[in-house]
Amino acid sequence: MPPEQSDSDLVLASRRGDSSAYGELIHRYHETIYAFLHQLTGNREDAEDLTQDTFLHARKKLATFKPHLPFRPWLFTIARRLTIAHWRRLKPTLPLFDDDHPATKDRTTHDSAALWTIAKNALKRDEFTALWLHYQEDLSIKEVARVLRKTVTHTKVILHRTRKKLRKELESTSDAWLPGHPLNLSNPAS
Amino acid sequence: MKSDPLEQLLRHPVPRETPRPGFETRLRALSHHQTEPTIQPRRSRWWLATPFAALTLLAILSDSPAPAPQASADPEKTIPVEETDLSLVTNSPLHQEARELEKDAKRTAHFLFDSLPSISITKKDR
Repeated sequence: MPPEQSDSDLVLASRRGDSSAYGELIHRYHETIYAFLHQLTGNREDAEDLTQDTFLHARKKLATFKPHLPFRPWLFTIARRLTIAHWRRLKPTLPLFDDDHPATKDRTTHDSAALWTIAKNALKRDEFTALWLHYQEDLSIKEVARVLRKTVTHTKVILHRTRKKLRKELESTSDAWLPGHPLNLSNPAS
Repeated sequence: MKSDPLEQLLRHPVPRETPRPGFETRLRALSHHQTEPTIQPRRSRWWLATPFAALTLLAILSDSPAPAPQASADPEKTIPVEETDLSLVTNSPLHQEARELEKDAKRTAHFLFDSLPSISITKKDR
């Protein structure tokens, strides 16, 4: 199989029953999906189970996928929906993110990982998902909107409000949040 | 245009959790297993038809008529079927009953005709 095959080519080959083509798609995206799900669930076992479910579900529903659309956002959509179903099965009182996470308490660990940990604790699930997909997975706003099943305008609003919320959260927790970066938390646009 | 420092920080790649070694292999195997053809070899179910076949055979054997006598080619031994049949028919009780009923009907009809004066049948008319 030539390595330069596009996702849509691999999807079409998988539809024809080519298992190695789908194996290549797994190879390309399983780490991305796993990292996303680990961010959402916060534990390795759930992230692995959900990654597995995501790829099995995607394989089953491959006939419904439109090959002209990008494959990665579609996988994120499935992963997100399966995670929501997973949360519903859990106790409703169970907090999504662990407040006792060491990185949360040790806010002097001034790096972007700590920023994301704070984001996990301060933001709602959809807000965090939108932020992660847009900034860490480099998905366009249109693609994020597709994953969240919202309009582009609504997604823009979500991202704007989420940044504002996160900025406030950072201001309240630290005066000089990142010594390495002269972080001026006030939005230059505003 | 100056970018927002927060956005710069958000875009900064973070160390990512990676799945345990062998996870990809397991995932591929599961996926491959899921897509394998699930057609099982056809089981032979000949024994389902056995009781029906046995019953059918028994029914055929029990309903088969006794072997018919072979018609002799000798013309002298042939029975005059027409005469025998006629005599049998005329002497049968059903035929007698039918004749009696016919007579009764005629008698009744004559009685009715006689009782009506306008259309009575006299002996002259007869």
